[in-house]
Amino acid sequence: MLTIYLTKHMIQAVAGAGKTISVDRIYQQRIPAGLFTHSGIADAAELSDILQAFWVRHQLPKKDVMLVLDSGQLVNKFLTAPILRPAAMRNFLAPEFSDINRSGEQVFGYWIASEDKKSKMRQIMATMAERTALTQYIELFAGIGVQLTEIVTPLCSLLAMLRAIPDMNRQTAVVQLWNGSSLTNILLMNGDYVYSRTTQMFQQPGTANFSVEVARQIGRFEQFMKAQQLDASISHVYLAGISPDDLSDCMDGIAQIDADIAVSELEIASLLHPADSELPVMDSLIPISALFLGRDYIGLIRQMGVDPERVRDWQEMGHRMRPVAVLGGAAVAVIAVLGGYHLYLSHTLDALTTYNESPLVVRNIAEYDQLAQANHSLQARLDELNGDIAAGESYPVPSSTINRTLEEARGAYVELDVRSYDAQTGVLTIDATASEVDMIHAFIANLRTTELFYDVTYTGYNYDEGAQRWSVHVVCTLSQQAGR
Amino acid sequence: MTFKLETNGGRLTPRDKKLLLLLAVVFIVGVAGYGLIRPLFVSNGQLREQIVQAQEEKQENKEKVVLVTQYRINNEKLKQELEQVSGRYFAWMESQQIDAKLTQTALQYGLQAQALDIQMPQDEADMQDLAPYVNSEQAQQAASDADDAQAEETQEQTDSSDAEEPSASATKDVKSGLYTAVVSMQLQGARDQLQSLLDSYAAQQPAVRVTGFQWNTASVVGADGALTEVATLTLNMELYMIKNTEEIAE
Repeated sequence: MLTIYLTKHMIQAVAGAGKTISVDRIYQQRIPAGLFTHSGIADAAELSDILQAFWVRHQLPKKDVMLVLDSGQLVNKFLTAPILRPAAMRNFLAPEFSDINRSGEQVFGYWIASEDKKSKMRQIMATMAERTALTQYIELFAGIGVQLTEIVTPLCSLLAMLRAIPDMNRQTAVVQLWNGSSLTNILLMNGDYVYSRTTQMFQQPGTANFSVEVARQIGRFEQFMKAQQLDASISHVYLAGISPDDLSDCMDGIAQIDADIAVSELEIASLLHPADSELPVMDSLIPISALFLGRDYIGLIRQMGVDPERVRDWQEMGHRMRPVAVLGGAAVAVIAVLGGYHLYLSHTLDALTTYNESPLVVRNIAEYDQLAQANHSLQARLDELNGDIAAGESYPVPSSTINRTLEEARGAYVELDVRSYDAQTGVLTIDATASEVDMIHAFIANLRTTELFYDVTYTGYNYDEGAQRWSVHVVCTLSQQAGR
Repeated sequence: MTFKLETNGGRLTPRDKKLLLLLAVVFIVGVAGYGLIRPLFVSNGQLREQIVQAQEEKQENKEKVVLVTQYRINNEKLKQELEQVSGRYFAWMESQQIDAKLTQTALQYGLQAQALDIQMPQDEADMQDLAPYVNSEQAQQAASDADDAQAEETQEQTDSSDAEEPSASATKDVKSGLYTAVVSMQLQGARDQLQSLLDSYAAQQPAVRVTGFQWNTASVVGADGALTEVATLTLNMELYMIKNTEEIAE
C-alpha cells in the first residue's frame, strides 16, 4: 500500500502495509509555490509532471494508492450519527454540512471513531468534498497511470493513528503536529476527540519565536476549554514532527504557560513493525497515519459511486418491494412451518415403523396369526362335532324302555308287538290286537297320554275271524324324548 | 421475448421497477410456492396418510401382542375340549375292524350273525352334518331359521340386485373329522338277547345311532323235531368314527 500526502508545499510518500502497520520506504519532495489555489489545483500540468517524475525516481507502485489531501476543498466535521448503511449516510450527512457554502454536488466520507450498538449510534469524523474537486485529483493521478483507491483528510488519518496509541486512552491531552508549513493541534478528552485546529506558522523552525508560537497554541486550547465549560484540564502535550533543536524550547514554552502539563514527544515506533526502524517516521506521521484507517474509513471515492438519485430510486423500489418482501417473508415462514412439520411427521413415522418392524413385534404377530387361524379351525371343528352330537341326541332312543312304556299302556285286553322302527321318520310299527273291541279306544287314549309319541294316528280296527281278535290300525311316531 | 434491464446510468426506470417487482413475485411464487411449499405440502399429506396407517397397524399389533398369551391358553383349551369330544366317538376303523367288533359283540350275546353289510365312507366328502330328528325341536327351529333366512335373502335381492351373494357355504367348509360307516346287520337268536344287544347299541350314542330295526319271527324245527320260535332282528346303524385330531387340525 502506498500513501501519498499532498500539501501546497510538499509531497510525501510512504510505502507500507495497513494490516501489520509496517513502513518500508519514505520519500519526500517539496513543491514549488503557486501550483495550488484555495479552490483547487492551479497548474495541473506542472503538478502532473512533478508527480510523474516523483513516481519514476522512486519507482513507486501505481496501484493501491491512498491520497491524504491537505486542502481546503475537504471539510471535516465531528458528528454523532445513527448506524446506517454507507449508501444511506448521505441523507443524514447532507443537512449537517448545509452551513458550508458549496454549489456543486457533494460527496461525503467518514471515519468511525466509536460505535455504541445498544443505542445504535456512532461518533464519526465526516468529510465533505465536491464531486468535481475529487474528480480533479482522481484524474490528475490517473494521468500518470496511478489509480487512487481512496482520498482522506489528514485529520481522519491522524485520529485513526491516535486511537491505536494505548497512552492516549482516557487522557485529556493535546497533540501538536508540525508538517513543515502548518501546525495541527488536536484536543482529546478522556481519549476522545473534541476539537482540532490547523495553524499556518509564520515563524520558521529554529527561531525562538517558533517555540513560543507552538506553546501559545496550548494557551488557546485552555481558553477554548474554559469557554466550552469542559470539566477537564490538559494533562499532557504530545509533540510530533518538531526537530530536536526546537523540542526543548517548545517544552519550556509550554511549561511557562502551565507548569502542570507534562510534555513529551509522540511515540509511535512501538506501533510499527519492525519497531526499531531507522526511517524518519516522525517527519512523515500523516502519510503513515493513513495506514491505520482500516475498514472504519468509508472513503470519499467509494461514496462517489453513491448516486443520490439512484439511492432514492432504490429506496423507492424498497418501499414498493415491501409487500413483496412481506409475501417472501410469509413464504419463508410457511416453508419453515411446513419443513418443521415435515421433520416432525418423518420422525413420528420412523418411530411407528421402528415399532411395527421390530423383531419382537414381528415374531408375536406371526404367532398371533398362526394361533388365530388354528383356534378358528379348532373352534369350528368343535362346533361341528357338538352340533353333530346335539343332532344325534335329538333322535329317540329305540331301547327296551319304549317296550316297557307300551306294556304299561296296553292294558289287560290288548296285545302288542313292536315290529320295526325307522329313525328317519320316527315311525314305530306296532302289531296291536284286542280281545275286547270296547277296550281299543282306551288303549289308544293311553298311548296318547304317554310322552312316548310325537304323533299317534289311529284309523280304526277290523276283526280277524281266525284269531278272533280285533286288529288295531294305529301308526305311532316316536317323540324326541322317547326311550330316554 | 427478452427482458433488458436499462441501466440509465445506474438509475432505475419505471419499466425496470415493474420488471423487478414482477421478477420478485415470480421468484417467490415459482421457487418458494411451486418449488418448495407445494412439494412439502404434498409430501406432508402423504406422510400423514402413512402415519395414520402406521398408527392403525401399531394399535392392531399392540392388541395382537397383548392377545398372544390369551390365544395360547385358548389353543390349549380348545385342543383339550376337542380331544374330550372326539373321545365320545369311535376311532377310525377299517371295515374288517367294524366287522370284528360287531360280530364279536353279537357272539358274546349268544346270537347268530346271519348277515352284515358295511358301507364305508368313500372319502372326506362323506363327512356329514347330521340332520336332527325330523320331529325334534331342533328340526323345527332349523326349518323356522331356514324360512327366515330365505325371506331375508329374498328381501336383500329385492333391495340390491347386484349385491354379492352371501357365502352360505363358508361354514360348511369346516371339517369335523367325523366319518360315517352305514351298517346293516341281521341277527338271529332269543328275543331277549336281541333286545339287550339293541339296548346296548342304543346306549352308545353318539358313537352309534340306531337308524332302524325290524323284527321277524319264524318257527324253526329243532334237533328234537319240535317247532321253536326264533327271532330275527335286522338292525340298521350308523357308526361315527373320528380321524386323528392333529391330522384334521392341519
